[in-house]
Amino acid sequence: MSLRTQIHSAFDEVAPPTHGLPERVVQAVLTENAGPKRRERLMLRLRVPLSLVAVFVLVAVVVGVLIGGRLMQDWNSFHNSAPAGDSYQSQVAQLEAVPLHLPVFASYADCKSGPFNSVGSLGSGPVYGDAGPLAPSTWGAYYSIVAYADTDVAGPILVRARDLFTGQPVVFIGQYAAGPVVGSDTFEGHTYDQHAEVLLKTSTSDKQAVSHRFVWKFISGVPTSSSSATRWQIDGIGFSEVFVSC
Amino acid sequence: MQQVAEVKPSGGAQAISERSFADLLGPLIEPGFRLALAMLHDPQAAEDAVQEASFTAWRKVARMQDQGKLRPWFLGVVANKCRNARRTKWVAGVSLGLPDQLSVVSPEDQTLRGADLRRAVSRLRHGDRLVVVLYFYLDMPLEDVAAVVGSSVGATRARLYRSVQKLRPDLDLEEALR
Repeated sequence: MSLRTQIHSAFDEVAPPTHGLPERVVQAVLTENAGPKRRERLMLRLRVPLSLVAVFVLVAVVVGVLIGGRLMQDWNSFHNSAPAGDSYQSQVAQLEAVPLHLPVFASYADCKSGPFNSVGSLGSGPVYGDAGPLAPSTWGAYYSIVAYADTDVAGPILVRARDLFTGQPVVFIGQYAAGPVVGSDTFEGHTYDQHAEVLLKTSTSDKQAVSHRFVWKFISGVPTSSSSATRWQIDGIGFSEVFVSC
Repeated sequence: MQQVAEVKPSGGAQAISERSFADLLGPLIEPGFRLALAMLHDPQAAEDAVQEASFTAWRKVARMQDQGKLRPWFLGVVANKCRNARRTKWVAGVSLGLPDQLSVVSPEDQTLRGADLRRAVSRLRHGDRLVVVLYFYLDMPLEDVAAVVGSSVGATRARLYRSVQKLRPDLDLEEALR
């Protein structure tokens, strides 16, 4: 079988039917197009008031940030009145002591990814994750992970993952990588220690990434021998969630 | 291969009628969707990419000097939308760790081989993946692939060779490109 035939077969077997798709897409464009003149008229009429509204919004944001910052400071000082370092370390140790639960599947075909939230991210909450391929290395492959939470979470959040069939840990590199060093690899010209855990902190969330309450971006990696079925466990203060990716 | 209806505008940048737009773009939606699906591995994200590309097409199609080149241009826009997809979903990412060859023999063998190949394709860098998908999956001639990626035919052929080598190092290149 030629490579062309193999590629056709590989993608056609997952391609959903496209009946009505061209009409739907074109119609959406034409419907959207029907609006600009109306919007243009509205904008013309509101241009001056809108600039005033923008100033008011800006002032409100600045005031909100100042007040919010002060409130946050008070809140943090209230919460950190106990010996912070010891408390944090003991919380991490507590999370690391939570055993990993590895479901058993008879074969890769039995493995089902999930659970997903309403926007297709993996996780049952409060923390969810998305991922995309980053780059391969001689050791394996690395993935860019975005974890996020939309509700209040506090304290350390521990992420661990294992290959469901080989038992190998999914490794982590970068600023949030933590826990035992399980290997090292040269990736994009730099040699990194590979850690078995990621430790997320609500105080160092990458909030600029996307509009969620908390966002963390980190890098995971799996060796070339990975089965591709991985089980992720996220433990935080007051919650423990798991999801499977196959 | 699907051909785009040749519609020559009577003069430069002018509004295009809804009917003309539908006639021009309609035949390109399905190949655009197949391209996006093969690039993103996510039907919903693929449909979004095609929809966004269609909005871009609406804004710019009337300004195209040669609308006979609409197909490679539109597929290029779809490819850009795929590259700019801000957050690729987990399913397309973490499940990429499979070895290139699976030694599973089961009724699901064919499916697993397909999944294996899809993962291998998705491991390629964006540009490499694009030429592979356009050439092998959309069955576009090398000249059209070059037009989509905005490169010369020679450079595109070289990129395709390299991509096939990454994909299937054991394959004879000339045989693979048939």
